[in-house]
Amino acid sequence: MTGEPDGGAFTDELVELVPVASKVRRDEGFAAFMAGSQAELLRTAWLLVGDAYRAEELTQQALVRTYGAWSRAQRDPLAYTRRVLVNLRTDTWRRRRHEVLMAPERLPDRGRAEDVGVEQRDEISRVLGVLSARQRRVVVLRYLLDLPEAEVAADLGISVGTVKSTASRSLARLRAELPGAAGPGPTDRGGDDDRSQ
Amino acid sequence: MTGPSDPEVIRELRARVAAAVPAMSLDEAAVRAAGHRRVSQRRWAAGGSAVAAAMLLAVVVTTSGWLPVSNGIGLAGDTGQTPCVTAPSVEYRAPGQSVAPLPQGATVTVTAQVGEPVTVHFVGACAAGGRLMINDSGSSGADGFTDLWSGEITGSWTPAEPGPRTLLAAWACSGPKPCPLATLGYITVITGGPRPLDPQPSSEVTPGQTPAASPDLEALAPGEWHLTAGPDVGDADRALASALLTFALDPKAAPDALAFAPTVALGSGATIERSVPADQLRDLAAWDVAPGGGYERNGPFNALEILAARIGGTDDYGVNGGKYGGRLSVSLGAHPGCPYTQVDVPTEYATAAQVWISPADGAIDSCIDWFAVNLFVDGGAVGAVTVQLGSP
Repeated sequence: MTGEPDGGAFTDELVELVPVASKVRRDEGFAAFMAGSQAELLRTAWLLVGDAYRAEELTQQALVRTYGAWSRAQRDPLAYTRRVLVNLRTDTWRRRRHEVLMAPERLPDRGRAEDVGVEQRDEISRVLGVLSARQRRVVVLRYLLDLPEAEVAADLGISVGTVKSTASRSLARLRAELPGAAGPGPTDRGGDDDRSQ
Repeated sequence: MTGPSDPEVIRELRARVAAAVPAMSLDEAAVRAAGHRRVSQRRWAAGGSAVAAAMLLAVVVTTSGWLPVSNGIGLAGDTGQTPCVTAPSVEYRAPGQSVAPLPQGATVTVTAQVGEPVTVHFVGACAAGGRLMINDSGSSGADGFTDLWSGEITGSWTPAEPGPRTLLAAWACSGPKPCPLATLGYITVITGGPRPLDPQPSSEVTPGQTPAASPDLEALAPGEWHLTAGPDVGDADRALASALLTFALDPKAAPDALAFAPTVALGSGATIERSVPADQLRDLAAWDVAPGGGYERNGPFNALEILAARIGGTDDYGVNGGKYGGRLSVSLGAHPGCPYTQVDVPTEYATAAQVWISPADGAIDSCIDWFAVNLFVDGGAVGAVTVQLGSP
């Protein structure tokens, strides 16, 4: 063991191995990814939080994490970002959480008649708002993003069995909230999830 | 009363969502700038505002076949504050191998073949108030090392031409004097890699579900796992870890080898949240901790579900299946997190034996996939179980 670098050349190579090119490649790759996936990620975020501004904030947070981990994320950046998106708990999220998860009965039944988009957004927010946070994440990933159960489980760090039971329980709750689907079915406003395997 | 079928509910939900999503957009440059700031902030948080020293960890690749590891302490640069260059211990680990600790600043020679991908993962931590600095070059990338999280760095490359090549990460601990700083660091060479210093291979635990020897890790089926254990892990520890995995897959069944104390403390990180009578542990929901979240994630966390998720999936993405599924390791003692390198041990169990299960070396490539389920054993019984997760 000596007090000098082995070979003494590493200091010079340290400078040499700081490639501007790699940063340029990263930025180019990230820019292309973001341009192609931004809409889908924002849509996912909106389904999770029910508010456009917060969805943009959450998506930006997730993309920032993805950018910082680009060398690992670039293998499947959309999956990586989605995974961060559904797991990320920001301080903002916590502060404003009650605004998203307010009791469904407190949400307006109808939006302004002249603004169909607002009315529909209110309606879907109300419908998804009956679900617990975990149920909502499962529904969004499993049924609205159409991901396989195993992938949902991986994204959320829960077992496939829990994905199945949570999805089943979620659909039972949604059944009563979607009058357009058919008549009222069994409702369950009880516990968070059916945790049986 | 008969309601709509599940497919009808799903169709209706999708139809409503399709018309409801508002127009939103983000500015790519702003996101990228925020990414730069985040990387920079984490580096500064780890290293402070001045570079105390730059100790080199150099990984040299040649293309002439396996070469023995050569160790040498190298102080690459000193930019002011006197660094602590004594005492820190660094553990070097190759896949499936446990080798003697290397000193800080060691030079590790790795040999790979042209065209052979090589990935090197380095994690370091400084104790005693020390702060770890990694690659203070100010660049977001250095020959594949593009992630400059505090305490963690990963690089991958495929040599295209013969000849020596150097990948490096400058790292050092700076902190309060007097020296020494206690340093924990290790390197994992995921593919390629050096000849291990210790010729003794690590012991590998093969529970009943898994093939007996030299298992084809890619072929692990749902519900199978492969548990790697270091040589310091005893038979009882291995059996305990295997029993917990069995229990995670079927909480209704309690294996004999899984001996719980009459009440088991459950928690997240260094926090014990509550104690649960052992006979209630078959209820999966009883294992939920941190309902408000932690590790920058939504909660709750559930130790059994975390383990089951790693060994129960079938897809080819993520930790839940494919090449990642079921590849776990069992280890002893305290450990740092990912990417944050704090050591989270509940004070109540600081003196208990700690057995922890985590993804095996090379099984994950990101802190978002990292976890540790910690078992605190006292008197032969599991008295506490805590969960740690990597931050996104």
